[in-house]
Amino acid sequence: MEAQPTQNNASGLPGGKTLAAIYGSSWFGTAFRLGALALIDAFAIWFVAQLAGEGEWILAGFVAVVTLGINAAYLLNGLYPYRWFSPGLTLLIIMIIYPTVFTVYVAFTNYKTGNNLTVQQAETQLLKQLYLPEDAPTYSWTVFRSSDDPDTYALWLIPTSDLATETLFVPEGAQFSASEVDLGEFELDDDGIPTGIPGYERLGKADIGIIAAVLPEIEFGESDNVIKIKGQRAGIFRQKYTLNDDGSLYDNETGVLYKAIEGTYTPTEGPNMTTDGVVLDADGEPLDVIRPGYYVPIGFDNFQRLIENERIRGPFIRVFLWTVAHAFFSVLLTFSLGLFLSLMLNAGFMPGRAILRTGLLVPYAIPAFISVLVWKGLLNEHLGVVNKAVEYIGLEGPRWTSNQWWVKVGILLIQLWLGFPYMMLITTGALQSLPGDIYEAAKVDGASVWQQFWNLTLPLLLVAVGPLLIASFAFNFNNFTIVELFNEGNPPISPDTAAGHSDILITYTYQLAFGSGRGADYGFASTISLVIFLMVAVITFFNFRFTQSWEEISENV
Amino acid sequence: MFSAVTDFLQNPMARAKWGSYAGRMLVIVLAFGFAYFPLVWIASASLDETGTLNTQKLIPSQLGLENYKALLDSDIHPFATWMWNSIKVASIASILSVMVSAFGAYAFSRFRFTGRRNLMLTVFLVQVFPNSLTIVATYLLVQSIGKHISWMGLNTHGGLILVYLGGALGINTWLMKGFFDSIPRDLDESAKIDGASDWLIFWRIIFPLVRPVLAVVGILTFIGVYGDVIISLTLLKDKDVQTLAIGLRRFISDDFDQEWGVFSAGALIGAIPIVVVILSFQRFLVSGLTEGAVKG
Repeated sequence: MEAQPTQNNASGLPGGKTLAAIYGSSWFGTAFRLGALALIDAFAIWFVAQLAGEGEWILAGFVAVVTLGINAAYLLNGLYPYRWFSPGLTLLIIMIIYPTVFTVYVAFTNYKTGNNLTVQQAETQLLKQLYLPEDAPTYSWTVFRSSDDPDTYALWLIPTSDLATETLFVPEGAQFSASEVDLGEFELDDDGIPTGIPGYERLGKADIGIIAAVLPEIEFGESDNVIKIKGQRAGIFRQKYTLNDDGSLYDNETGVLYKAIEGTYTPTEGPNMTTDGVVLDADGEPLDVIRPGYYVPIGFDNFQRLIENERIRGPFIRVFLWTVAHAFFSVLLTFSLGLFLSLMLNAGFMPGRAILRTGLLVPYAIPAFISVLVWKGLLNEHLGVVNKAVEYIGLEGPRWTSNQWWVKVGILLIQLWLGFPYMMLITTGALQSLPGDIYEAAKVDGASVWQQFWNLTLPLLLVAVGPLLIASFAFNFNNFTIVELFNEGNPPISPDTAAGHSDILITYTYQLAFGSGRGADYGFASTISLVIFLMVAVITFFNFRFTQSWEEISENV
Repeated sequence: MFSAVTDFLQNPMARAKWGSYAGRMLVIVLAFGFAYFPLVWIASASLDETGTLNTQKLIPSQLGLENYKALLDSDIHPFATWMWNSIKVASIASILSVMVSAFGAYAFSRFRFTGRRNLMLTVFLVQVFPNSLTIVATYLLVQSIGKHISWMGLNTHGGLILVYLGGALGINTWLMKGFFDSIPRDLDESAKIDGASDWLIFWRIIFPLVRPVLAVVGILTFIGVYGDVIISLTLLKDKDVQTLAIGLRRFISDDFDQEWGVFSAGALIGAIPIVVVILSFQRFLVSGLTEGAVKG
């Protein structure tokens, strides 16, 4: 059956008053469609321009391509079916495919705390910075607050240096000499400061105390002659950095030239440069690099660190092995218990089987985040009921959260509790569909119950539920919820690394990017993400090959 | 009666059967103990007014609803807000997701067009990779979007829902497409002859007929979003916008053992809606999950 664009179907019909005729293909539909498209385009053009201005080229490109696609789908009749996909595909491309592509890109960059901006964003921020030159005119200041807008302030400035020639009144964005100010009913006090100005009220010490934190941030006066407060003085500030054509920054205050090395502005020369390249300031202190910097591609450096740096490789291998072991044992344990219980419940003479089965589903029905937190309480090392019971019978309670082995046992125990009902569910279904006659044959041949189980039931069952077991393995490979909520990957392996003994790859990634206290290393976290990608791809490929389900899927298209 | 007993004692078959029954019952009882012990324990804790991990006993010494009151009144742990946030986000995400997915399923089911096969396979393959793998890039993406569209940025429900919707066109579309295929095309054809547009056919004819599968997909999406930890934990920082999954987590960091009773009350209230939904719709939900097992 071929797609039939139906725009013109209704026009030739006799009963033209039906809803179908109005909504279907009339001028109304076309106008609505084109109007909506125009709105989308207007939004997209604005958004792409914003993103491009910030240097977010990859995202801007994705948004542009998606917008072109939407236009094509709605303007070309040949692409009619894609109109139905436009919301879904837009979301898929922007929210899934773009992050995937960007993850690959970030894995090859030094995107991290301190280098977390694009070039444009870093330059814009740094060029905004100001400083008070030593030869700048300075003033003593008094703050006035606008009566109309209580968040707007102005300064009355009285010269304190020879370079400052006259008394000034400077609101935000303007500048007047004192003689220009119409005092109205107010007058100057003994210090030459007005007691008030029409539209403004003079602030006392108490009021200034309240806004002391924001006051030094406010830029008074005209934009090319910015006046700011610094301590007891106010003065005309100048732009701190000048951007050169080659992307380097010149510090107008110290006279140091900063070159961007891998996105970090590093001093190249200064008053005192030591022989090994460290730049010292006039007091003999090393000059710091300028933050923020920007992120740049650094080739395979992140991968190299992973492979060559002993302090990273060691913990990484531990995390990797535990990730695999955790997924494997989770599946093995839940499958074993689930199968055992479904065999126990499968006998024909068990009364109330259906109710018992439903009853055992309850742990599976509870949201995992709740179960894990509950278990965290039960397994509390000192006060939890499990350890109290263990200590009651005279044994030492396991250190569920501080011992590197017990924490793993604890996680697997929780996994078992959460997961056995699912395995019971799928094995029950599979058991009931096993052919009965082969067991008759086995009995005739004198096979014992054990032999029947190992040689008939288990192999047949594994063929049936194999794909689900592999899917379960893949799911647990990335089971963030359990590991993160139970112990946040702790106990730590060593102070050198973000990895903990119970961390799996996905929680390790999370710690690298969002963990507190170490700064974010998005580049390296993305590198680990790529390793997980690779693993999931291998598992999935294996699953498709093993079960030939890909052929089945392809046929179902 | 007497004969039954002698029969039991003398007949090995009957004895084996009874023995096996008793053994099975013992296993089932143990399994129930394992499955329900944590639940009974927190149910008891939630009613125990002493309220701490240390003082709790199986039979509460001071029975009462104090923990539930404390839970709903607390400013430190705004439980009602978290619960509402979770329900709001999960409802919006699942309704939008079902709509987006249904449009796709309709087109896959009813139209034949260039690229259809590749698109279907792409949609299937993409969902193999959970979006938690790109969590870093997703975080940075939402941050970038939020700079320009503030209600879809970090720390907003708009941004969170947007991330959940990324996978709307996925395995659910496949599930729906199969169901859509089972609706006879004759219905579409006759409507078309009457002059109905595709949109009207979808909305007036197909949509009412496929409501069961939409409900199943909607419920599964709701449960998935309600239980999400990694994305909400990454995107939402402020207490008042957080969802239940990460709100409850705050109890661990803040004096977990002292707040045990209140936490237990929250855990129960948070779990019950989902448990009720899953157990009531068990037959429909489970058939989707276990299909592969029987097909083998």
